[in-house]
Amino acid sequence: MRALTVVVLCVWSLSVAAAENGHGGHGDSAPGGSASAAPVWTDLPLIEMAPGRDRAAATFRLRNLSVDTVKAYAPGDRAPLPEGLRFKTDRLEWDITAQDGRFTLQSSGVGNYHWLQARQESTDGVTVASTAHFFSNPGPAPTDLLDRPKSELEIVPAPLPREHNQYRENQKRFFMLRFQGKPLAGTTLRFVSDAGTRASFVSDAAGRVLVNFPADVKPAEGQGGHGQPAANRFVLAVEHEAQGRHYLTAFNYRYGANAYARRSLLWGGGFLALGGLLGLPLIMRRKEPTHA
Amino acid sequence: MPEAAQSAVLSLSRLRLGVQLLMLALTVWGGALVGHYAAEKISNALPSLSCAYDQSNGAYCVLIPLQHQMHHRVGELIQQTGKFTLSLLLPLVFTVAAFYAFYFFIGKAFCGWICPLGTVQEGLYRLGRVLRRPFRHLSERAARRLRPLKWLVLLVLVLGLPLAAGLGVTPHATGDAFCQVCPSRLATTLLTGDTEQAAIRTGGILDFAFGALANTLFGFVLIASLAVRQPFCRICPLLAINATFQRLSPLRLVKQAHDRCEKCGICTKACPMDIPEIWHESGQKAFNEDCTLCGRCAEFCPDDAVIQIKFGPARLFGASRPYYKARIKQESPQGEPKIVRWLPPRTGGHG
Repeated sequence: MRALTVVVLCVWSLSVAAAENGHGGHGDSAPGGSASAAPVWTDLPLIEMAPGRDRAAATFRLRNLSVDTVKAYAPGDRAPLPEGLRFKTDRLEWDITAQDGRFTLQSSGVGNYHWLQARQESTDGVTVASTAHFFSNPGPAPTDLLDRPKSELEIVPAPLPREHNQYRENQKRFFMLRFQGKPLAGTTLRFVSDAGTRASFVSDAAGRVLVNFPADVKPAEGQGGHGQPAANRFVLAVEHEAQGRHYLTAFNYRYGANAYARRSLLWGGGFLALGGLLGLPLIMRRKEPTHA
Repeated sequence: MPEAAQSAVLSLSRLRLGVQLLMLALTVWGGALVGHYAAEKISNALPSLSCAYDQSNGAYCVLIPLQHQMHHRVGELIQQTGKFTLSLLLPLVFTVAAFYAFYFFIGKAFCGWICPLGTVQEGLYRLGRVLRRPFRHLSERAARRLRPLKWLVLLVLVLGLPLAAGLGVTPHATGDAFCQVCPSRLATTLLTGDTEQAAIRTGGILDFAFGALANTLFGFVLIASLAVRQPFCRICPLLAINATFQRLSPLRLVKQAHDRCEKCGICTKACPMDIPEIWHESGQKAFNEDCTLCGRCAEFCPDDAVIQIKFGPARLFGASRPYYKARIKQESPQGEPKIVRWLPPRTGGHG
């Protein structure tokens, strides 16, 4: 009996833990995005989310990069609001100290999107890792945050993913390549996912790259916020030589299962038809009674 | 200008149709114009059903932040801290303030002139007239009996279940319970060519049940709209919220008592919400909670200045006999279009 009780308690505690881990919030949830004890899947520089985030802070770890400080950027004040109604923040960018490759980003309290950048400089060149993080804050759009040059060589999502518009497999999304603030044309962008997919894409004359997310997200074991299946991590990387220096920049984020994973259009169509059938008597003409 | 042509140009309904189509474009595809990110939208607290699941819209419906805040700000914080303080309601106050900043100017016309789902239902009703489907009006009794439903939907799906989800009483999926069943989510996303929302989630029983309910409701609304005017509006929680604030907007419907009203009743026949009070009552009571300020009652009132739409002291539109005579030539109060005779009737022949 005691053994049975222990087993029941163990199962119960595991299920509670699983339920708590699976409970994401809106916006700042990262479906399957945590990187706890993850194996090395790329030698490119990464800023990966680590366990321990809430509505005002998120913890990250650096991979394949050795720096002491990371720069954080918040949306600026170029909001589409009348003068006097703008969300003001004094902290457009600030440094965060990393310890043992880990650091915590505190929300600026203004604007949803924050940008993180780690920069390692040597005599040979510059290596940059970058990512974005979504806090659920009112504030200006991240348009100026993305327009603002933050390093010599940049990969800029156009646009950033958002709560109801996350990156997904089988989806094509644009990124901008810039060098010293100007579009970088005809340059190869490397794509690597933690599922092992590798691909490359080339920027057009305007510096735009259309990235096609591969269909390699495995069936979900756990669930993120809103019942979304787990996601893969990916990194985009670009290299460029200029004035005798080598520049390497990476942007990492995550992409989820395709839009129709764990969804059924057949069931959807069936219930739509059922609703239509229920409404059918309303649109049928009733026969007038015939009088002899 | 001939009288018929003049009335066609000046018709309030035609003006409203133009505004509705413009607003449909803005609320469904307007993101290309106003911006992609939530902060760039016209508003994140629009008093109309402009859906956030629509990837290219120009504004977000106020029900989204209301549910979100009840779930994540009020419910979760009460659960975490174990106490309720008024400061928990601060985000809700900001949302309502943003809502009211828009609502003050246009009031309940957000329902009758701007809501994309309202426009879709009206379009389907017009299609039903073209297809010669029967017209089903709601009796006075039925119209009155349906009214509490929109308040129930507001209390349960918009406020209650999201709060319960935040408190951990109900599953996470109930955190945006109204969005899960809202027909506008399906209508607006399908209008952008996105079928994802019409596909039902199969990962869990509750998700599946919400999807089944949403699709059944949407299917019913699509077909019922061919014969019944504005079927979903009658239970819409946003109409309930708009009704809460309707006396706090200068834009309103005004009716003066008139001797001939009791024998007439054309206003109720013209009303897409079948409101009997616009016929039987006058003064404040005539501006009923179900009114969407579409103005059809004023258009089809045959007596001068009995029904008016006013903004503060300014009269924006008022009933007039000449206007009524011209309007009734175009369509019946119930919206049946009159046959336009482009050629003079044939003379002679049989019968």
